[in-house]
Amino acid sequence: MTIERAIIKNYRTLRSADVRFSDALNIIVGDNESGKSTLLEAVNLALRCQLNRRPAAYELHPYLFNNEVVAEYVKSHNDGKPQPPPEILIELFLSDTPEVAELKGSINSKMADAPGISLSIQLDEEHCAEQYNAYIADGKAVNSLPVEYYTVIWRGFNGTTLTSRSIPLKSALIDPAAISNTYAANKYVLEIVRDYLTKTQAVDLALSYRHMRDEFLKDERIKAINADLAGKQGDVSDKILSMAMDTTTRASWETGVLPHLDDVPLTLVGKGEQNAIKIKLAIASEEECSIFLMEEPENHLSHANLNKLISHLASKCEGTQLIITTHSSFVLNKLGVDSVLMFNGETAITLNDLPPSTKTYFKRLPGHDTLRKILATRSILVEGPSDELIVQKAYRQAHGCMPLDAGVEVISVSLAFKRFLDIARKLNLTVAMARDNDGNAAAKKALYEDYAGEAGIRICIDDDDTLRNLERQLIAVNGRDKLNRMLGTHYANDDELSSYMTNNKTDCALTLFECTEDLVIPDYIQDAVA
Amino acid sequence: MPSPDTIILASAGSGKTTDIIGAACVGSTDRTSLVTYTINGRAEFSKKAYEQFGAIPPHVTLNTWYTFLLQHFVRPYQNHLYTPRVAGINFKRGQSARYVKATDVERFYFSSPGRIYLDKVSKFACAVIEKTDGLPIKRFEAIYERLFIDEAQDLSGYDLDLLEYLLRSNVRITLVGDHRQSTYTTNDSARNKKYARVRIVDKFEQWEKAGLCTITYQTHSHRCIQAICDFADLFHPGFPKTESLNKTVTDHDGVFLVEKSNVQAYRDAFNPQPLRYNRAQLGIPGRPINYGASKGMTFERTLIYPHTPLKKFLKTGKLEDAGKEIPKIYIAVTRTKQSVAFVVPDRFDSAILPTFRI
Repeated sequence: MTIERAIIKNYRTLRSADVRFSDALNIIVGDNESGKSTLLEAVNLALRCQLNRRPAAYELHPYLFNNEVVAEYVKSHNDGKPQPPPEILIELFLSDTPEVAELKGSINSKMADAPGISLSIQLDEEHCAEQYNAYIADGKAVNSLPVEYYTVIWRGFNGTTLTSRSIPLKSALIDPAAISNTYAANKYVLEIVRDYLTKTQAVDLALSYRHMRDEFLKDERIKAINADLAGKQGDVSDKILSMAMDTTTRASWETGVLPHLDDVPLTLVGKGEQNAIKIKLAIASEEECSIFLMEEPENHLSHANLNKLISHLASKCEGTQLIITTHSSFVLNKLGVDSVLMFNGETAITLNDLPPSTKTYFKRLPGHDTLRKILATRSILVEGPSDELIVQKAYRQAHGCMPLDAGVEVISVSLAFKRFLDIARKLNLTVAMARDNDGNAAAKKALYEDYAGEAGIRICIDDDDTLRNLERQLIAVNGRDKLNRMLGTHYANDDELSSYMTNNKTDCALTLFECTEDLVIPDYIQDAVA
Repeated sequence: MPSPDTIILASAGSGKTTDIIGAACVGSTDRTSLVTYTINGRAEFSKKAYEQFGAIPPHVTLNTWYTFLLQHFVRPYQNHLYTPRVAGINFKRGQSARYVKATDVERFYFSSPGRIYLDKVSKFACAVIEKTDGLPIKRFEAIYERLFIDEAQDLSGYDLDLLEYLLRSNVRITLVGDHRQSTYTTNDSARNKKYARVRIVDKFEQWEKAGLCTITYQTHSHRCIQAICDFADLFHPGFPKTESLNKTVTDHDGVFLVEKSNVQAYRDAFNPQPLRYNRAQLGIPGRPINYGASKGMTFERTLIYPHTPLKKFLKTGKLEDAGKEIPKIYIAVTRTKQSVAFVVPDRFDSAILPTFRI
């Protein structure tokens, strides 16, 4: 049983996302702030109806809602053109297997016949319509979303309300970063241990814990204390005061039992080891955990341990669906580029969504860091290191900061522009490419004609066929004297200077880059960094 | 190949509840849906299951008919017909929205958003099945291998159409019921009116002819002695005679009349459970139970306070005098193991029963 597709609306940064997962390994790669963790959080929310490991209904706050949506809602009321209260919707489409047959139906936004889970956070129209009407009565005063009138609705695609027990699949969320206090840590570890135990073992544990509480009362010393307390009747209360173990339901074994590692409570073990243990425990779980959500497994782990953990994941997780977010190229490289889901906050693609030649190209790349880079908010594609340096300089001159500081990646792709443009096109990324015209601008432009129409893609190639490469372009706009000065050379004509620069491409570019003097930037590069 | 689906028509006291529970819970762990008409019926099922097996086995799901309809045949694909969630049923009896066209889905099926009329629930289910080319049936087939429906005689209106879809499905179906005890109907739809109550057997027989199921009669009674079985059978001539398996003999066995002036003495002697037609019959000592409400119960002895048509029948022995409420009379008569006594005026003259005097 696996998640095939997640549709998310208005949840935090994910205003509208639609992601398809593979049934085995999914490595979600995306820019910072693209919502990778939010995606995982949303999936977990729909699987468990829990936020921060507490029932979602207790954890509602306005910031769960996409802030653009909330802003539009508030503005609409302030402007006297009220919009209906926004709602969060998370739908998980599951693979059609017998154990989830009951969850099958068409109650989903696609009206598709599939097993699935739907969680929505919406205005409680049944109970709070009146309060809500009072809240919006004065549109000018509306300043945020009245989540106190909201309710969480958790149902299967069959229209039946779910409880945590009615979900026939076991999932585990491993998000080391979220553990901030002992309470959360306890709860977290116990949750995983509880998943690890078989049903019978869990029952045994609960029974013997209860038995232990009963034994406590039978202890002679406790009896004596209680007899003594009984004698005090009237002093404190008219009723008889006695001491006993807490037998209310919240005092189940989970509150009194804690896993130990070499006799050290697990919560006190180092974060790294703790994290690795949790992951392995969850993976070794007796009753098959069918879905793992794992956030940045690289956190808290040394390189060697990360290596071990990754091998463990790769070998033990057959038959389970793994959804991992990562920033680490190491994790990415180790687990394989085939499993990469490139996520832009709205949709995610895999290499299989790209033309076959492009897929082959990326599979052959030695490291997959480039793959990660393309997912930046903005990227500029250039041919090689010398172009990269000039573009960096151009950017700094134009914007006063290095591109990376502004979240812009400059990527040298040698001549594989199209490969990257294929991804950019699929994910609606903002990409500019700058390249030489090689003495035939029309022919070069024709190569990228297909992509030129895309909103986010800018093809920057200079039209002047006499300025066939970067060096010629630089000489044309800066003049020989200035370049001679900056490079510390003394060439008497442009051709000599050009051939010197072309033969020492990278060195020249580095010198120009490091030179404090501003460089006049050719238009096509100016255009690319704009 | 004959259909594996069966309809079991069981006489009162045949132990059908026990049998159905046993068949569902033991011998097979195929996923089984067990459906009964009322909440009381459901409670009785789960009580029996807890008594006999310690718990309801995990492969069995217990449901009332209405929950069953909503859960499997209304909600999962309702948005093909109607978007707001069908939250519940408007249990008002009678025919709803009679002058609204079925194309006006909202007003035809619903009294208020999400509240579906009782007589339209299974019609809605059938409409969804038709519109989705049978998706709800396919879904049900994927979840369950067996379906048991108790009190099948109470199904009416479009319930029967839905049942026919199910009989044509892969799910193995066992319907258990006793048409002689059909005192309720699940709804008051005009659909299938000619198969209402006792005549539901005609529908069952049609299905059998069409090869959708086989009908078996379960003609024994664990509860009533032969004399009581024979008397009860008077109300349903033309059906197989009931055979008693209760061979217990006491000092007072059989069916009698008791004169009004003798009631106190009779009660003191035998302590029978009083049964009445309805609460309009005043001045009945003890804690009387209405005929209909006594369904499913067992007593050692009963004392029945007849309503007017029954009184007439006791006098003449002619079935046409017994009125329309024959199922209720049948239920009242078959509650008891050893003796049934009818309270009649003094010096009442009966063509069929002896008077018992203390």
